[in-house]
Amino acid sequence: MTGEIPESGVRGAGRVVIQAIAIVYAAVILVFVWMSREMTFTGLTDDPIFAGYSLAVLCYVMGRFVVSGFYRPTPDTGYRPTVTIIVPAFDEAEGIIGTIESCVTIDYPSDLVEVIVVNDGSTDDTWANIVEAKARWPRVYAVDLGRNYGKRGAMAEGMRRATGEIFVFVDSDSYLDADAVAHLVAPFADRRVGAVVGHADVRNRLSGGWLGRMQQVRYYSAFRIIKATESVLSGTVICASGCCAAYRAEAVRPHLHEWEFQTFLGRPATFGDDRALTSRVLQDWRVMYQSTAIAETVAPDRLRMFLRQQLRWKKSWLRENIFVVLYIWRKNPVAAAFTYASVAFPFFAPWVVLHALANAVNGNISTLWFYAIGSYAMALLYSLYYLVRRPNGLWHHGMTFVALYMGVLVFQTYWGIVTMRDTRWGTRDSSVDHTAIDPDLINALLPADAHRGTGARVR
Amino acid sequence: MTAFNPVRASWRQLVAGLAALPLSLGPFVVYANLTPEGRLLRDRVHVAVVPPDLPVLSDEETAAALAHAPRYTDAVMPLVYHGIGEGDGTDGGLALSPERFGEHVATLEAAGMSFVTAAEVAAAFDGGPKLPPNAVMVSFDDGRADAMLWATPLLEAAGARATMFVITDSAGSHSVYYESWPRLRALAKDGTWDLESHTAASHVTQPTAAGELPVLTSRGPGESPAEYRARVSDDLDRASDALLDHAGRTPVAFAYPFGAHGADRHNDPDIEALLARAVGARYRIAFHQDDQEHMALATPDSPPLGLRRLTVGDWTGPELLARIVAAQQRTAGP
Repeated sequence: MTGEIPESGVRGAGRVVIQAIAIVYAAVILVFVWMSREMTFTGLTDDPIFAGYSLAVLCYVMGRFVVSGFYRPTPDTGYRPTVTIIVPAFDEAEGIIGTIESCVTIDYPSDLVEVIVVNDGSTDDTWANIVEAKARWPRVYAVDLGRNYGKRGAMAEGMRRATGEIFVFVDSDSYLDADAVAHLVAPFADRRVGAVVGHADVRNRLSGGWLGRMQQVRYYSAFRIIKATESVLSGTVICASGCCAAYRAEAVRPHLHEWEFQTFLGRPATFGDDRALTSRVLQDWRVMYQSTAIAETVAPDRLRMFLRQQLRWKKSWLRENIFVVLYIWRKNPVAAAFTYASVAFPFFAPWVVLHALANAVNGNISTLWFYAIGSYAMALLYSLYYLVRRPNGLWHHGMTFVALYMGVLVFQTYWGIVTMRDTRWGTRDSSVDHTAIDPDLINALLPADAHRGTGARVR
Repeated sequence: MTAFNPVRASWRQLVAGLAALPLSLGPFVVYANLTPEGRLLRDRVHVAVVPPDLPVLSDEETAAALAHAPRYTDAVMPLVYHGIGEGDGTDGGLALSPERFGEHVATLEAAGMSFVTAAEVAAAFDGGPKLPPNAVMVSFDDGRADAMLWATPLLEAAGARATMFVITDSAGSHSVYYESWPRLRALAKDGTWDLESHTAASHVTQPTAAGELPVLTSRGPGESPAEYRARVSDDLDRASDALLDHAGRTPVAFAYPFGAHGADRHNDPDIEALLARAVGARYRIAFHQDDQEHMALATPDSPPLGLRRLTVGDWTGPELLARIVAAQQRTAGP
């Protein structure tokens, strides 16, 4: 399955020409932004909320660009701790074998890797396929929970059984590059680092229609700009995305129980497991982004699924922000400023859109124009950034994302608050209750690995 | 449904991506051409990157300008412009192109004319320093941003100065159409611009029984003469206060909005006298634009509150000189 999608980017001289065009284009946009400063400043007294929002967003965007420019991945200096790859699976019959294959064929000393696949009461052939995979790769540790507990339960059970110093999580719809784990563990050589997130590309970026292309560009800037900035600022990545994340066992264990049974507003917190785990570890540890550790993940290719996924992410974002804002200021003041801004913007954004629309209805169309062209300019900057890094023709889909964001996603913040207590996944029917895992129902197929007896475990 | 072909799809994407580069300019082009803010922003970038150049006249053109140049002393030819730029239909064709304005400045300079400001005219007519020979007063009305944007580099290139009659409330309105106080202050500071009064908020008309009339030359429905006088005094005081506050100088010159000073376009024959008294109490000189066909130069003998300005059209440099010569010929000799 790996290597399904070739990427015919422009190479050689053409690549340099396109990159030069993109850079000049971006510079021209910045000149226009600079020349419009007076219009924005005079607007401060006239329409303070709107002009203040515009200025703040501009500073935020440019600040992220500048800081992310200082980002460098941690070089792989041969640090090789023991690693446990944990794959929770629920109704993933189709992709699970490919995911397991990508885990067992990684470029890492095999006696230092443990692969634990946890079947979370799948109703399809997932378990059968896991068993089939185990027949091919006997060193896989296959665990069938016997019933459905939800993703957190499956992940937690995997962690309880894991023996590695580092836990690597791979979603069952994600695929690790062969060298991803080696790169992912490199930052852990620093004792202060508690978690590392890799870089996620959209696997179906070509076959997934416009949504796949759009999310590829979106993911790229979300990782390479936002997470890179957070990583530069004292290692304050706020969300180590589930598609490719690693945790130091020692950093996770103290939070395991509380995280597994986290409740919010009296309801079990079912989604945002990745964000919830990161926000706990981040309190006492650094969380880094490692751009050289690359995973591919399957993004939703239907609008309905995409919007539901975005709403789930928004809800977990809302929930975890409540904790993060309380301690982030202690970690790094600049990171805190970015975080507080990014928390505040989505609350203002819908009002700014409505305000611009109301002005337009009242005959003053200039606010709407300014908002539209300003957002377009920011979208273009992000998209041109992608063009410079990956001249493969997908860049302009970044503007589709901003259009969708401004039209639909800005309103999800409040919708997320209103529907906060609805903790169903929306895309699939997994458990929404937190039940302690019943050991009697578990069917565990231990790794048949001559080199690693149970004596090697470091529980 | 045909099978998904990743190689074809990625090449298609590549072509789409390249095509998207020029297409992505579309919204900016629309913004820069169809919205007032966009146009101003485009012009600001244009002036900042490629400032308009004063045209270099050929030897023949310079010789012709000198040969047909008006020659006079102790008098001034007041000129009035409105906007510079493309004109957006809101100014009734009152905007000239930057090239045309540059041609006027270059021709006036070649003809040996001296650029003076309204403040200098006021001082000279008041017994102060005499005006230089062949004085011409370039003035603009309303305080429009486009005019100051394009005119400033052209005036600076010629070492010329001009007068801006500012509608002071508009300058404080944060509208993109009018130059803001911070920029006005900066432009006045280096001496290129003399800022004078064009009322605070009276550059509008009002409906009256006699039709739509300028507010400065008409009494509103039910407004008594005393109320009219108070309204006008208050407006002119506010304009003077604003110019003192923001530009650091009390204005000495005034331009009547719409060129209306009460001789016509009024609904009360007493208004001309009432308005003249209010204007005379605050300014040394005032300009209107009546009677363009029999225009003469302004001299110390002209009525100081009834000076006329020539409304400059889309003329060539020699045409402009010919108009000034005609005005000189209509001027009573000293």
